[in-house]
Amino acid sequence: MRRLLLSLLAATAACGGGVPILMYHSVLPAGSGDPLAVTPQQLDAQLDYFKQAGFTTVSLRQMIDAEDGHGSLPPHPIVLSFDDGFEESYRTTLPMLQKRGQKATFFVVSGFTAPDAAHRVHDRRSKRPYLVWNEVRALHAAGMEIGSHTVTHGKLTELTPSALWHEVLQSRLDLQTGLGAPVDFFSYPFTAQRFRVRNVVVHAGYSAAVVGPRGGADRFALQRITIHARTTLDDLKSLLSESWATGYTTGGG
Amino acid sequence: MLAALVAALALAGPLPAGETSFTVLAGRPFYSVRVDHGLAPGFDIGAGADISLAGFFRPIAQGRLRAFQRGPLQISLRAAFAYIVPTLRADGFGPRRLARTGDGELGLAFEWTLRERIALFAEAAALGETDLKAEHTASFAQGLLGAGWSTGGPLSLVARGGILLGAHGRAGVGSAGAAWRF
Repeated sequence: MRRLLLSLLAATAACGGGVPILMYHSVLPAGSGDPLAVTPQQLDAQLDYFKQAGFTTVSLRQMIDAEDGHGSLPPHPIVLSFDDGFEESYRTTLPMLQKRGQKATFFVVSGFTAPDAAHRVHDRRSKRPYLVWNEVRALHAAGMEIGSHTVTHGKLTELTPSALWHEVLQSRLDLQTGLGAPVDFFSYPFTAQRFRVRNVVVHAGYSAAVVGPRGGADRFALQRITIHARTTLDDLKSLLSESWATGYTTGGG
Repeated sequence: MLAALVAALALAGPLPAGETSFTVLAGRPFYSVRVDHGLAPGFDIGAGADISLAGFFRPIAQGRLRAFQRGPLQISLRAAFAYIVPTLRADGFGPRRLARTGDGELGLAFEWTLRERIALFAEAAALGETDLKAEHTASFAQGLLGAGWSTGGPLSLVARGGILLGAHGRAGVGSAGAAWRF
């Protein structure tokens, strides 16, 4: 009980220090029809903007460590995150990030990650390919952060307790085994989470978890800014602005 | 007598009908100027601006309504609306840009005349802000404790402090200044 209380206290501790966390999904050519996808041209322009505007990409680990007093962040830090672990993360996104010396966090669905290209899993609806293990390892080896996006991308708020534990814990174990490295960050599929779900994520040993715009500074429901197909560069600049009171309470005011 | 003094100090509650006050406060998060006018017994309206050194100001309008008064105690409601106007441009290097948000405040204030010319007050308020984007929509709670001292003439000195609580953390707030009634 004491551990539970301490965990929940830690989970609700304010963190983030106002570091914006962006949520991307796919990077696909124009006309893909995916409302959550950005085109390579859009992503190029956005990554250029971050560079020109003085933003420095950092990992969630860096952000959390700085919050805990272990290390410091560069000026104007920003976290880029990509959900779902589609194959273009490796093929398209990684080279664009590497070209600029930028980093990102990729949230991978462990159950959709096949051992090799011959057994590659495709999304049932869109037929789009998911990453395979060599590609996930290559992302990690390139300095990208790998996080868990469950085993099957299920809606966690609708699962039984045992299924919920499986989705949250097994994905972490699978990813850690495959990478040979800790996997400490979690992204809720469909950004769906409740207290019950967050509690399982805390107990599965993650350091933090990200949600969507409805999140906050709670370490297990960190707010992310959604970037999608219709997000213009001006929209992005506006989204990266902060409200006075939020900035004030995070020490920026 | 005490009740009259409560109204005279008007720290947190409405001004007497027909009276006007000009208030200047300095502190965190704002430097504020405000003109309030008693429109009717137990009800006043005010307008002014809050200026922040963080790079914005916010024009603000508010109304206060006395809900209860007995002896030295009065309870009043406050509603305010403000709009954030950034004054710093930060498109490139520098602090993050500020969003233009509408701010709303709803407060419940208790004012108690402790001694002649001295009153204490406490206010619990719910604050919200939005520009209709989820990233810039937030709610806050604020608690303030304050004290006021009337010089006996038109001038009163006021000091207050408290805490602003939000999903993204908490911060101390506080200000002090003077109110001139005419």
